[in-house]
Amino acid sequence: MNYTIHFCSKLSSAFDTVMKLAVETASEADYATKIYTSQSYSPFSSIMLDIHFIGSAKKKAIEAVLDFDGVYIGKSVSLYISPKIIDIAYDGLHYWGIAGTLFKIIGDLSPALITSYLLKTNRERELSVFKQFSLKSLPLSIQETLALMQKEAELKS
Amino acid sequence: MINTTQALEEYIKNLQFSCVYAEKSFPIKVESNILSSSREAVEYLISSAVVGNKAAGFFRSLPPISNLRDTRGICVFVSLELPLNFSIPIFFCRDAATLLELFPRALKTSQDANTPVQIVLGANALHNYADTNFRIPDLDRLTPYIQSDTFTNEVDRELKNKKLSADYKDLSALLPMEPFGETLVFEDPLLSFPLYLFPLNIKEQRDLFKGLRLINTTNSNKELFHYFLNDLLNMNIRIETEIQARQTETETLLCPGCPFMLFSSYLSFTDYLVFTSIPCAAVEKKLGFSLITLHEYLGINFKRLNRQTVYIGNLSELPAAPIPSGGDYHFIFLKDTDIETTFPIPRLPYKLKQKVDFIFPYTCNNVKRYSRLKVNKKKCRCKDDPTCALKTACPAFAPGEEYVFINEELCTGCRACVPACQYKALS
Ligand code: SF4
Ligand code: SF4
Repeated sequence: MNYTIHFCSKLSSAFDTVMKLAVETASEADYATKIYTSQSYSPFSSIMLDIHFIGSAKKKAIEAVLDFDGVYIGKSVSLYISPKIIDIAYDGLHYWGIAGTLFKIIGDLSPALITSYLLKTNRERELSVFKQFSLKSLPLSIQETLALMQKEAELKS
Repeated sequence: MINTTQALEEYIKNLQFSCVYAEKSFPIKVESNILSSSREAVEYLISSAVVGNKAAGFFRSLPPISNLRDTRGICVFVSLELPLNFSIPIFFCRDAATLLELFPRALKTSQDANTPVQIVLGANALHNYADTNFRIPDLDRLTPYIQSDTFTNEVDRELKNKKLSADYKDLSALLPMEPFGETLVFEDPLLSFPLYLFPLNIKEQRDLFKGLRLINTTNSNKELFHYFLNDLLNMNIRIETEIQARQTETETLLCPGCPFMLFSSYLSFTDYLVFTSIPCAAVEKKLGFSLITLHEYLGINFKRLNRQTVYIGNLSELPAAPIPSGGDYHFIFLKDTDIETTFPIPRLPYKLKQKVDFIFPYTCNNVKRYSRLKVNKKKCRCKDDPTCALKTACPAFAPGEEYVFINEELCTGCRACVPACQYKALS
């Protein structure tokens, strides 16, 4: 399966770390990745990274927005995840909560790399938030949308 | 895996550039040690490199170079836009990998060919990731020196460009050697965009593009190609687009304490047309003010117009242009220097008493900090989409579970957000 995920965030070191780990995780699972960035207008502006996780030669991809800081203002998309949607406060730890949901969308990725990174760097609070969200189910409506998209993608290919 | 923005910061830090200029709105944080306008900074950087300093400048769009000289030290201009005229070698970084490859190469070119060079960062090069070995290039260390003819030596540009083209043949290999056919279909036009543009080979190869009709199947870089083929080569080439433009975007945020944020909160400019010389893309996108120079503004207002206008610029621009009397000018100057003027200066930025003709207490490069803002948790009612954040575009805000949350590290206490809250929850 292929995925196109738009990662939106304010610039922060936690977001940067999450992105690096996500790309490494994907390549461990044999996904090819292509990363595109959007223009940013000031040193404080928010950014968007479009990452294509290419797992098959099929043309169809599941598209989702992972909005770490509630900064997405583009066209509405069916699969949209933000701290508000998964019910987590914007307290800095939320980057790891949203990171956890990536593993719910791309089911065949393993959270082991992130878990071991957080363990190694003694980030217990981050680890517990990450575990919570990578294990917990997504909100029901999102689960349904995702299932529908997966079905469609399989049919079309 | 390396973040390209961090890589750029590392280059600047480790290569010990002694003369660094960065526009405040440049999307990466670079410590600047020159306080001047972008135009003046170009001259400043070139002359400091002429005597042997390492000079680097970061601009959204590089102002035209009027005094091009041979440089002893490295002189590199980093910009986000391609220039309209080519007078120095351009290295175009279309993505993260080419940025890491080309940045050291551009520095070497500047060193070996004694010329300033320009590195253009495509949208996809900044804030991206590359999976390559990052290395800091080994460059000469020079002690600056000057002699009587250092600034009188004329450089034959034509000759220099010819030599550059010959020396860097491999770099220009990406430009076409044979005429294109009638139609070119690019799956991803960026992959075919030349990485190295030298003033001479552009002219020589112009004819190879004649009669071309370009089909761009991704639309991802339509503007870039349009620019290259039509604006630069003046070729009037048809570019067709087959796929819809991207519609995903994130919010544009200003710097915390941004003077423009205060102006839009406290001063209503509905009866003025606003012009500014501050080249900030975030302000341009958010507020849409036109970018002009002080001289252009004076020219506009030489005679009374049908609309009132106001010019927002840095105070240091003032002595360069004695203001002729009689015009209907209005100014807001941002205090970046200590020049005496007759204009009033409010002590606190949020105590602006008049709409125009005053000095604002700071500019982008010296944003002041005031006592931090507090959220009255009982009064705040915006859980989602807080109006204070939406109206000010301040990055310090985040929606909280029960009330809005302010990032104390970012908040400067400028109070631009106070009038935006209808519940009077910010004080
Ligand atoms: S302070 Fe305002 S004008 Fe200056 S760079 Fe920041 S956002 Fe732009
Ligand atoms: S939170 Fe308010 S006071 Fe603080 S920097 Fe932003 S606009 Fe200024």
